[in-house]
Amino acid sequence: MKKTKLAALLLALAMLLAALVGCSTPAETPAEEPSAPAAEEPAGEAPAEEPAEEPAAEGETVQLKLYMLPQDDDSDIVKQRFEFIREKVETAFPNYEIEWTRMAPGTDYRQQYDKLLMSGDGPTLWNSLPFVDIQTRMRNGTIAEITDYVVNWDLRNEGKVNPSIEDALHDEEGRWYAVPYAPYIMGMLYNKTAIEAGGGSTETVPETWDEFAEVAQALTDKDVPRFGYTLLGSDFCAWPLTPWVWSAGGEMVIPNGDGTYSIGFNQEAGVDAIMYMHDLVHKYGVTQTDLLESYDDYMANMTVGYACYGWGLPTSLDKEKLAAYDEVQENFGVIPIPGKEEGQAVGFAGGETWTMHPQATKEQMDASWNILNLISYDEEFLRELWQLENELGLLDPKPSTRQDLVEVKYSYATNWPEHWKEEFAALNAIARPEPFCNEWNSLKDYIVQPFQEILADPDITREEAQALLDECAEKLYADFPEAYKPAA
Amino acid sequence: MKRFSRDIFKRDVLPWFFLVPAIISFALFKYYPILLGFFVSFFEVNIVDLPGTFIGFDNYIRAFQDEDFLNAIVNTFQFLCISLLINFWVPILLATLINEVRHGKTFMRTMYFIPAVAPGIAMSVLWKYIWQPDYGLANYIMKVLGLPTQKWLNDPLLVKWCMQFPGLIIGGGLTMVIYLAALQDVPEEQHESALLDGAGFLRRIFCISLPQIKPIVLTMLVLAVIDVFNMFDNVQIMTGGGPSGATETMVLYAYDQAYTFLNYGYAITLSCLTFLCVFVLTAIQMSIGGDSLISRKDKKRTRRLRAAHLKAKEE
Repeated sequence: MKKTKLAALLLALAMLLAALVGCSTPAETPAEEPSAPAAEEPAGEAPAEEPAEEPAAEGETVQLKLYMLPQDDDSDIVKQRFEFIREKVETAFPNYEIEWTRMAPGTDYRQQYDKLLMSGDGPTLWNSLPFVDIQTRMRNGTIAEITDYVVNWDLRNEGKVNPSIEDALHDEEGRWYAVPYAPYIMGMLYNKTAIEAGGGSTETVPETWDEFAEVAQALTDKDVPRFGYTLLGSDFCAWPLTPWVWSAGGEMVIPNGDGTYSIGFNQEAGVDAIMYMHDLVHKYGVTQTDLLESYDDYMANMTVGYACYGWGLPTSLDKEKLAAYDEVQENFGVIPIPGKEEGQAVGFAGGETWTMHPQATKEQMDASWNILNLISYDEEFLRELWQLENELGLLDPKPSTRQDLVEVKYSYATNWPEHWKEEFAALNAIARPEPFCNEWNSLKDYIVQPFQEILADPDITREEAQALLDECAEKLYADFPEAYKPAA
Repeated sequence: MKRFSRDIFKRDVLPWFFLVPAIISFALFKYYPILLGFFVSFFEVNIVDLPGTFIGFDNYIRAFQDEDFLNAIVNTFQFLCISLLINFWVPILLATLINEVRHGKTFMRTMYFIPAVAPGIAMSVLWKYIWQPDYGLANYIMKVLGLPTQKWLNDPLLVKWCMQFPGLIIGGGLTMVIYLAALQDVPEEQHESALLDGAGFLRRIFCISLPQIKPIVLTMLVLAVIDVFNMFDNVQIMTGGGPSGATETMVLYAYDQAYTFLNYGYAITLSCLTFLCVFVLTAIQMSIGGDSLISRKDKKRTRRLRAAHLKAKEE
């Protein structure tokens, strides 16, 4: 009897083991499978090099997976724009078998990307990673090296590629890992309706911290509620803090010249900036007291008119999104972040990049390179795209990826509110790229805690704030010695 | 002989075949990931070359030296204490009171249960707006009552209480219904006998009702502990771990390590430690609860009472 039970148990275990083995052994994925980039080659090898010796035969199909499909709840005009791109790409490259897909809605795109890589999947070509991520990701091997393509790129050699973020895209040895997809600029967004409701005017632009505090105070009425400035105190707080530090003449990080950076936010200008934020909350009382708002809530404050001014991205002002709040683009605009002193006002440049799967084959990388060149750098394509975007009311104020076409792009913007062109040009002229050092995102996360601690305490002194920032800097030096090092 | 073999097959072998799908599912989707997690916790994970570099116990050593993780442990235990204070005993009290109500018991039960049906995430979002310090409902009520407004979720001293309070309404309804069902299983005759013997309300509750539902209470206690150690979604939605790390829980910290700092191996180590904490606490609770979650003394007393009750009925 016992033997029978034992045999049955062993049988069950054998089946279980077989199932486990079946699940854990990577299947030999045929070339036709879209997930081929990850499965074809063993991890850890240099995938881009080896297949180079066997280029794809002329007309041979290449499988690609692109995560560019709009979400179901995206507006119709966004979907129309995507369909235009898809049609152009498929017409231009009929032998590419492209799977158009998207990340799960409502999830963090970086998290999704890593999950896809871990499961042996992921985009062959991707246009979502911010340029500030590249230095970290080139070191952890989650993006492919594309040096050969970039150094032999005629457009770049002719000076036609927007150079604003290119220092972030290669390492000290000149190895390239990304090219610009969508550089953007940010500044101080304003809501004209809210400002006028508070008895203010958009005609005068506050240029210094003192002027801004005065204007914001005059506009604030907490019973409405209407705040002069909406504060981003959650996970994203380092994003707006950076230009405020710049506007005090400081730096968030300072290059040491050996690939590492020293921390700058705890120097005098950094402390000035954070204490100014503190004053906006407690001394002038012009912000909301909620430091935990998500970025969406924060942007909603701007669009519904709870806030007159706030750090923001002009590209978030698309017509359909605003219509949801019964608002129109004409009522919004963007100005530089006021300087601590006159002449120190700043703008901020960010941007996404094109990157490739770290295990893409040579054929897939060639195809990806052709596609990104069409979508972001082909003049004829770009002109048609801008024409369409302008008709749809989607033409964003991002500078063109083609340096020689920046003005051409703006010339298509016939549907923009009158004041935008002037404002974007002014902001663009003083915009600085976001710091892009290794572990920059870790720094942004580390600073949240002292930032919230300082802003939440109405009685904190400058020295106490300085001590909290110093402590944060020390922690960064200790935890990321390969990225951050005190200046010699 | 053949007949004998067929009987043995039916009785001893066939059931195992029926069990195989469940065993496989459990092993594949529960135990395999847990074991794999422990395995991976000894590596510095490289996501394109799994599992990465073997580093022995380095991740575990790092965890015990990591001030932020120790802060997350403290936060989690504080959440546990608050949860036990306001979310654990109140449903028992409510169920006891409702059980005593003569009329409208079903109505009351339904009213308490309805919020438990609402999606937890939606409730967290709703409560986040209720606690909003500038234009939230909570401060509006404070103003109407002439009381000073509070920062609620933005106040490190209040934030944990504010976050646990909705649990009373969201989860409390469900646990209350479970307790109520257990209380309704307590033989009415015991209460009647106690009443005849002159026992008051509190005496009946403490000497009859609570001892009878003790296994349920212990089970719910185990679940409450597991729930607190797995706190993630409502923290992520309501505070993101703030203000100044005051609500950073062990699971949230592990999540941040994985997806903000890309330290997957370390994040798995932290998850393993969280799992160990829950495992140890559950084991302690089970051992305190005795075999089958009810003490021998209680069992004997219940048996004695039942025997006496049956005897009285026969007579």
